[in-house]
Amino acid sequence: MPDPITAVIADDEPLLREALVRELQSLWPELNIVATATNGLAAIDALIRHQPDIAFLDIQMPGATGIEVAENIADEWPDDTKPPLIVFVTAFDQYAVDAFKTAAIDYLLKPVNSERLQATKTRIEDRLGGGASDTITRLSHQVRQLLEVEVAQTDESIEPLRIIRAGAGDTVKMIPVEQVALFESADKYISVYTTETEALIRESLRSLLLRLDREKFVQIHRGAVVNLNYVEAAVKDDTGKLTLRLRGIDKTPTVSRVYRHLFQAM
Amino acid sequence: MSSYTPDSTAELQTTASDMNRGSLLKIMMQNFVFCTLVAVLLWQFVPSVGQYGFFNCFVHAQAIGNTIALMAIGLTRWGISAGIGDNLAKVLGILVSTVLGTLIGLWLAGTVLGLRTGPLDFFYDADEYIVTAITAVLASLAFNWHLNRREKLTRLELRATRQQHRADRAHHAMLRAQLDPHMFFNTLANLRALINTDTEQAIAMLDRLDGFMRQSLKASRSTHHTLQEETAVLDDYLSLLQIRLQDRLQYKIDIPATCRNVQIPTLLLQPLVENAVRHGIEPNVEGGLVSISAQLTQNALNLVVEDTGVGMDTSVIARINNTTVNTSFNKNRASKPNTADQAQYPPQHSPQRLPQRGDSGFGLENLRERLHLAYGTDAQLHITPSTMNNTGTRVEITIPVKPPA
Repeated sequence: MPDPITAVIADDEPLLREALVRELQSLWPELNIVATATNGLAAIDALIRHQPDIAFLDIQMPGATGIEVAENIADEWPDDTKPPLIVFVTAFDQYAVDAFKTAAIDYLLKPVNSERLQATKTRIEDRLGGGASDTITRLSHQVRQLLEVEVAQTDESIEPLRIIRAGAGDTVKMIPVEQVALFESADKYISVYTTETEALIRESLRSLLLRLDREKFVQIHRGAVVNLNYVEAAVKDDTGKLTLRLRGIDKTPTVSRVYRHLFQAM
Repeated sequence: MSSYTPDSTAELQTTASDMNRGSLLKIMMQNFVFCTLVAVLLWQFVPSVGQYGFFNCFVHAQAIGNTIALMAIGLTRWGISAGIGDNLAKVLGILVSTVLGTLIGLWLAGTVLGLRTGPLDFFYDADEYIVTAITAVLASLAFNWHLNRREKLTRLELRATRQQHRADRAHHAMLRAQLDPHMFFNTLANLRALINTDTEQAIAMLDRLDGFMRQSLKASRSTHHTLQEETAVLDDYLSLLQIRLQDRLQYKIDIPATCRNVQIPTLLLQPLVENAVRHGIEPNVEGGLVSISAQLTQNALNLVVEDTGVGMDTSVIARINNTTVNTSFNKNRASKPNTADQAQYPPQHSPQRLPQRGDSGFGLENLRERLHLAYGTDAQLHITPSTMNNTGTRVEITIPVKPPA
């Protein structure tokens, strides 16, 4: 007899979390729900610890959104094990639904009813076969598409950033954005690196990215955005890890799995 | 009460161009009738002119009156568009058109009636026709007065319409925000979950939803209600959210009895409370407290919505103070000093609520607009870090209140 299929459920609203657990138990009794999580960070922990077959992720969660959880998993999951199949759970949200359809991701709309859950179950069972590397590639691809939809939705409406104003004690450094080689996020801050200076700004990488020129600046990791004009080379080590060498800066940022395709040889 | 001062040049231009088609025709027809009336009066009551017969009087009055009118409209409009100022344009228009119009009108009449002896013989029979000219000048002045009055009326109407339009738009935006589908469907999802497990709480939740919808509907039909009615909506709203978030959300509403009957714009605090929960408490793993309080001073009502959520820190407030969000509303007022805290919670990073055109800081923008429409510059909205903890946000609104009689 094969191992039972395992799942982790993450939703910050207790009633909805319990309801989904109940619905799944009655509709899919052989499914083994190994853990539930009440926020995004707990969800990442639970997924890494339990390595389930399926992850049901609410989108709006404190700590990290469901999409951020998926991005994290796609980035960090070890190559030789199979990442969970992700099913997003959301209340009315046209944007998210459009994004899921684009990325061919399974999703459930709240309130979840048995018919819909049944259909999802059938789809999931079809997809559960397949090797680890296939599944990881697929997940990376899906996450990338989700993120691209997000960018496409916002591009025009936001004013481009020209000057970075970074506070340093009593002075505010004014750094023209095209001189920045690398943005790296750390906690609530972003470190800004140019060939001459280094500064901190309080901003999230995601909102910063929306205001940057996409031709020049690309995300290479959830925590890093690089200026392509400063990229000298992409180097792959024995373990398959990809890092970038930058002109004039002593930093070697890592390219995560989701963004690896940007640095393939022509 | 309103301090809204529209750009008067723009409006004058609108009125001027409004006169282009139908309106210009109408004015000229009115002018025709007026000139005919002048001709009849001259013919009947001014013997020195009347002796030449009605047709003579009619041609003179029409030629002079209409020439002046056309020139006055043309010159005034040209003056305004050339940017010499509305009033100067009008004075010049009247003066120049009266002098030139009389000359040209006399010349035209002389031509039509065959009285002129040479090509530049304006005053072919000056003794008699000078009376006609004076009458025509009077006609032109009367016409200009009439035109001015019309313009003023149109301008006032236009301003009132715009004001109303702005108010309607703000009201509609407020209602749209009220019917937030995400909140609604989430509530339904919770209700569905509760029905099987806890019927009693399901009924309580349904009652709260009922109360909230009913109050919102009622609010949509009026522009003002009492603070007590406002807090009733907020209580329903927050208790709905509390069922969803459970112990992650605490709230308290503290309204002194003296404030309860003060009239405030409908659902003024609701967007603030929504922001506090959505952007302050919900993203916070530990949750937090939302506090709503009011204080009545001699001639102002202070309303405070405060939360202990993730909020925004001083550097974010400072940044928002220095940069304006790219919406027309902010751009319009970018030069005014009090726009500083035209703020919003930090931009949402979660994909389901991306900053979008006209959406960024929506609640506060709409709120400012409504405050401005209702109280002009007498109302204030101020954002500071919360005083209850280090991270949260405090939004204070001050609105003028009539002192008790």
